Amino acid sequence: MKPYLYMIKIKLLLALSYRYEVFITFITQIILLFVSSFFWKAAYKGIDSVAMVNERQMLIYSVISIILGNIFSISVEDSIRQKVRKGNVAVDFLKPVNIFYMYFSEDIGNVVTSVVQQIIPILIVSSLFIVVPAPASAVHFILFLVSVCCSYLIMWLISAIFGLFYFWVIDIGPLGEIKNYMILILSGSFVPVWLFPPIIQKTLVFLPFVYIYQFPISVFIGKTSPMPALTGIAVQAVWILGFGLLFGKIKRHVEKNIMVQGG
Amino acid sequence: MQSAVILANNLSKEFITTKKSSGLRGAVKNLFKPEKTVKRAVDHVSFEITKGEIVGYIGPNGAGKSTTIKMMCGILNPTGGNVLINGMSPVNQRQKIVMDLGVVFGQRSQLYWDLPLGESFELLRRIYLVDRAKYEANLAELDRILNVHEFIDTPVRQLSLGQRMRGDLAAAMLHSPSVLFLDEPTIGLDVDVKYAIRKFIKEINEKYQTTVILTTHDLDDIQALCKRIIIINDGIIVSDSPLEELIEQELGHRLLIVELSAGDFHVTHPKAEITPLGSNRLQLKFRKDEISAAALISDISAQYQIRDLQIKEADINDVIRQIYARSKAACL
Repeated sequence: MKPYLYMIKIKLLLALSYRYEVFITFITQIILLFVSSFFWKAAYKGIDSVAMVNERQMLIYSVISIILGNIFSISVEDSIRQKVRKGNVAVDFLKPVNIFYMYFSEDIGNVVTSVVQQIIPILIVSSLFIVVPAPASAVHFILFLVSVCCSYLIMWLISAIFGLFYFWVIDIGPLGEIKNYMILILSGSFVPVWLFPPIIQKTLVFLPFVYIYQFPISVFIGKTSPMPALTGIAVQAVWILGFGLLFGKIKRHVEKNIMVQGG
Repeated sequence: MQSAVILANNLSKEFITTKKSSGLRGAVKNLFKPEKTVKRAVDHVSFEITKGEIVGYIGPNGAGKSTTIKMMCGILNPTGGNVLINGMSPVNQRQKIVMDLGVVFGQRSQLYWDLPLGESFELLRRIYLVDRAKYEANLAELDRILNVHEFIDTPVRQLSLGQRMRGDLAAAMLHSPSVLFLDEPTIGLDVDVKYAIRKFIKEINEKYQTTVILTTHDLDDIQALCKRIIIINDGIIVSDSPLEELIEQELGHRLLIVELSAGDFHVTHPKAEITPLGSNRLQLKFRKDEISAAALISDISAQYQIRDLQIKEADINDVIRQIYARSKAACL
């Protein structure tokens, strides 16, 4: 376990060496925070609630969504892509460790870093100028934390599966980008899916996307009550299992046919 | 006879590449019926390396050196044949094998670009489960030859190539592996660093009986380090023999160059081939097994007065060039 923990520390150290970048990211996050709060304030003008969600809840929704966006900025896909292109993945495979645990540790390191560098400042700014992002209740908050962990695993596995593709096609072009936008739109990270037409809502229930952003956030704001929340977490677990099996299968295939670039 | 540390048996690797036809028609053709060509990068390679050997594994660019090394580390799976490292196969026991393996790819680095060198070392210490006392001792030992303490707190991106290479070598040896693969470790380095690296390889080999496989294009590396060389060309081993023997059988002769004081001479010798070089200089080509250099010199000095002389050692560069040329000709 120790090398994996040290990897988390290394990621933190690396992040601290990019101070300028941290600052720029923070500024964009704050702009996003204000823009979405203005948007929802304007949309709610003269309306009490939409789909049983009031203005305050919606503002909290957007703040939490931005925070989750920070947590879910997963690097495994991109780091495999770059390593495969440059052939440096060879060096990783020479270590007596499970390299995917290593990549996972790197991403956990990223989460720790973003909590310190982005999330805490965002919470402070939001509490001071927009809304205090308080959970509906302690029970809701605990369920929210559990479901965020599940969301993270789903996101990570999807990213890792896309990363594995790079081993044999080297470059899947815009496919990775398309996937990212699909997740952003269909997961309700900008606009909750309950504002979409009913037919789309019904379809999306059968896809993993809403379980990444919208589900944990609606638990947080109290739109989803504890019992349905538990059911939702069970659905998340099924998705984790499904993606986990798929990932394992592709990983075994890749390890059997590894291709390393360059002399 | 000691047991084999590395045993390659009919090791082969084929790469399938799709040939891209050009133009619009080509593009359509590629889409439906891509033309595939099979390239054999390594073709039935077999060798056995025993503990404590330093083996030079050489060949022209694209001969299959790196591919062989990659198969030995388990990064590439062979298409055919197998290889055993310490009796284990890299195909299914990669993690176990690499625990006792040090690898340096001269053109890649395993160090973290943005972090001080020492951080990468600390991570490796944990990956290879080296306890602190042993780590400190190893580092001190490595530092003695490679002088890594000079830049251990510098981010790797700020290191010069020579420093980075020394760092990479130290990183590969932190867990004192019994087998070391060095893929062009002296590429692009200056004379001093090359010397330090050679000295380092020699010392760890003598001290710990580390088995070293070295690929390089710098034949001075080979001459300084290797007792045995394996030459590969187009995926096929064309020669595998001790360095001395190779030079002997390829060249077989030496050159003696003498400068005589008398301007008027007519030298003949039954065991040497003589070519005048002008300005009183003669070149005598002889075989070591027929006549010794000392005997030849005394024969000549019995007739004429020798002002200056020089014995030319066989040049390994010539030997290798000759072998490459021959194996190329055989392919055509």
